Amino acid sequence: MANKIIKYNLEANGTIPTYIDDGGYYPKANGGASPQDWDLIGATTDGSNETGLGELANAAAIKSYLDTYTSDWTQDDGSGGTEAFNQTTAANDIWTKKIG
Amino acid sequence: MANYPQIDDCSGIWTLKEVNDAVMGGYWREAGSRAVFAGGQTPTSQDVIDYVTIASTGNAADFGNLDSAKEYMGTSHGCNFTRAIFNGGELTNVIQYITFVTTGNATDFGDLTQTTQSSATACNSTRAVVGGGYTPARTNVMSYYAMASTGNAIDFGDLTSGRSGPGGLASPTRGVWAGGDTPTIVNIIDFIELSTLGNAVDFGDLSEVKGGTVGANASSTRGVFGADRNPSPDTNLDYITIASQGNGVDFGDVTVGRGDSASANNSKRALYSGGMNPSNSDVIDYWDINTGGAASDFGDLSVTRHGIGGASPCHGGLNDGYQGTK
Repeated sequence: MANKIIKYNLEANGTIPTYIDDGGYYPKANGGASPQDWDLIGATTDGSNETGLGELANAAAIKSYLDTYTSDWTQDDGSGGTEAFNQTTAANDIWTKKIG
Repeated sequence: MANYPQIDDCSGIWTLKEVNDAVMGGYWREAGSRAVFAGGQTPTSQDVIDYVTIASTGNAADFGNLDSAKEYMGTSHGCNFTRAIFNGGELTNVIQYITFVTTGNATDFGDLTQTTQSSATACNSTRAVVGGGYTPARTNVMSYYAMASTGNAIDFGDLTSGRSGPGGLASPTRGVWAGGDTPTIVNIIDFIELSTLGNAVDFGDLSEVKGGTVGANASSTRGVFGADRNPSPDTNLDYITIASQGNGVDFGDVTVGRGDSASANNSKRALYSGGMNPSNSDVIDYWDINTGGAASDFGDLSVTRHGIGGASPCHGGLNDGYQGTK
């Protein structure tokens, strides 16, 4: 059994694609029209061959992709403030959703 | 006898007998179906308020402005059938209100007992109870006020733990707070009886820890918590049966994982608007409170932001917008 970590859009009617099991992560604005104006990252359902906008084949590929648009993002620092977004941690978190 | 107007929309035609039966029977709907989203951070703090009609889909429209720019408004606010009352934000003690049927600016209501942001409110048609938040200590303080008047909040009791960014929701009799950070992210659910004064009691646990201001939507019987953004961006929604003291159950997913969003709903449809992932979002999601499942895109906020306060005049604490027994 296996799934894929992919980039994808919502369907044209705004619904989550049926082949996405766990998605909606780290949206990248693509300049399109709502509700397909964000490229999202997600894990497909077990056994799906869907690749959406493209497969992210490993944690390094996810990090490289995040690096292209998240350089100015911040995240909670755990004490009421913010710190720079950690692309490596985020990529590893997403990769844990990979099966097989 | 059918229930008029329809529970998720006020449009329709009824005979005078149906109207009379509904009014005399106590199930004529008192409220409209407008949701408002106030304040937030872009990352600059905002005074913007925008609104949507819950039963439709589409982009939000400009409403008016808060008294000043405010971030981290908390997920839930006091609402009766006519007013949305926003509590704190931007580490202030300001209570301010708008009237749903207008599109005007907010008016001063009174003061909270402490300066705060990221608190959560549970309310029925008469009383709003504000609990938790960031002062900048994580507070367990609850305070309350009567929504029909204006005035300052009064001490109510304490949550079981001090925490920032819990989700807050209510049935007509019970207020519930869940999740938040102590600063450790927790899955705690607390509840109070809104008509009493006193400390909160343990309810059960969420299916997972949720922090970063937890979404909170409720009909008069069912509460839905999540999504959130701590410890990582999360699409998961949990539901509880408010009359029980049971644990949260996995319920569905929003389209984009994020927290510090605004929650507002009627008895059927829940909205989850804006937020941080950690990039700012303009997405408004909706889902069915009764069935759960995958959320759908509703439209976009007028300003992409997080740390927004949400409100509607037809939530669970207001008996889904009905005065009396449905």
